[in-house]
Amino acid sequence: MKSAGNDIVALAAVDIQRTISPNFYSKFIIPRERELYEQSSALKTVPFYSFVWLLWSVKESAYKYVKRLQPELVFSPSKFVVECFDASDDFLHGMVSFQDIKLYYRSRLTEDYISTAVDDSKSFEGVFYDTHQIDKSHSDSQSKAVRELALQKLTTALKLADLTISKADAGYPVIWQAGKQLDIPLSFAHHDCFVGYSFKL
Amino acid sequence: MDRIAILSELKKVLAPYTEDKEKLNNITEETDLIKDLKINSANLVDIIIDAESQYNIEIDFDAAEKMYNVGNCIDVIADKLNKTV
Repeated sequence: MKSAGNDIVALAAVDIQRTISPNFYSKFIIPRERELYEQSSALKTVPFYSFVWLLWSVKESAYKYVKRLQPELVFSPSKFVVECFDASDDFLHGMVSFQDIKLYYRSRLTEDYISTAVDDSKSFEGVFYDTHQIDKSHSDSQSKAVRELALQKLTTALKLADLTISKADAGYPVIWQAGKQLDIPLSFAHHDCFVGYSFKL
Repeated sequence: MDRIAILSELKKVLAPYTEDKEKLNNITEETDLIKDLKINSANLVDIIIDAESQYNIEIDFDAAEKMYNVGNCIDVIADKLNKTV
């Protein structure tokens, strides 16, 4: 079964001093993951607070992916274990595991945000994901903006009109066309003035 | 401290992280922090740290993962408070 998962952390909305406190990050980062910060050459230029939120972003993305497959799942970030970090031209990538599920992630780090998408294929074939900045951070504005953004891309990618999006009871978004639910997993994320989507065809 | 008193204090902890103050005033033990109060998941750890400070307790790794709704938060806080008596 296909799934999708993504997450965004707006760095202007986080408390940097709190982030770098061991009492904070140890709530969701296990010692093995903490050690990756010194061990990974891909993280040489990444500030520690960004590393902490990068891990959060990967774990949350993976949780959303698995939640669609296991609707009763409760987010236990320490059980989603980030295994490695590698660098490509414009993103960091690696693997994250949950029990016997292994997923691949791609994360984009900028001065303003960290955005992540996950997939079960390292190639991310058929996965579409994007992040945009919006003017207002209110939840209604975030919700409207991320739907518009995703629908625009879905309409182009599917060459279908009259698409709509609703929410399943478990909380993830589902796509409809002419009264029929489409088998296309979609994930939304928003934080402060950033919104993003991920879907897989 | 009984559950009603914990709930009353918990509202103060949650207040900075939700824009829906009316829903916050009417929370019950079933209220979900993310779905109902629209708290961003990135703030869940902030809430745990603030709760530690508010109640002068330490919330460990495993307990922190249970704090996804108000009732669970009260369970964890009550358990920690009982252990500090």
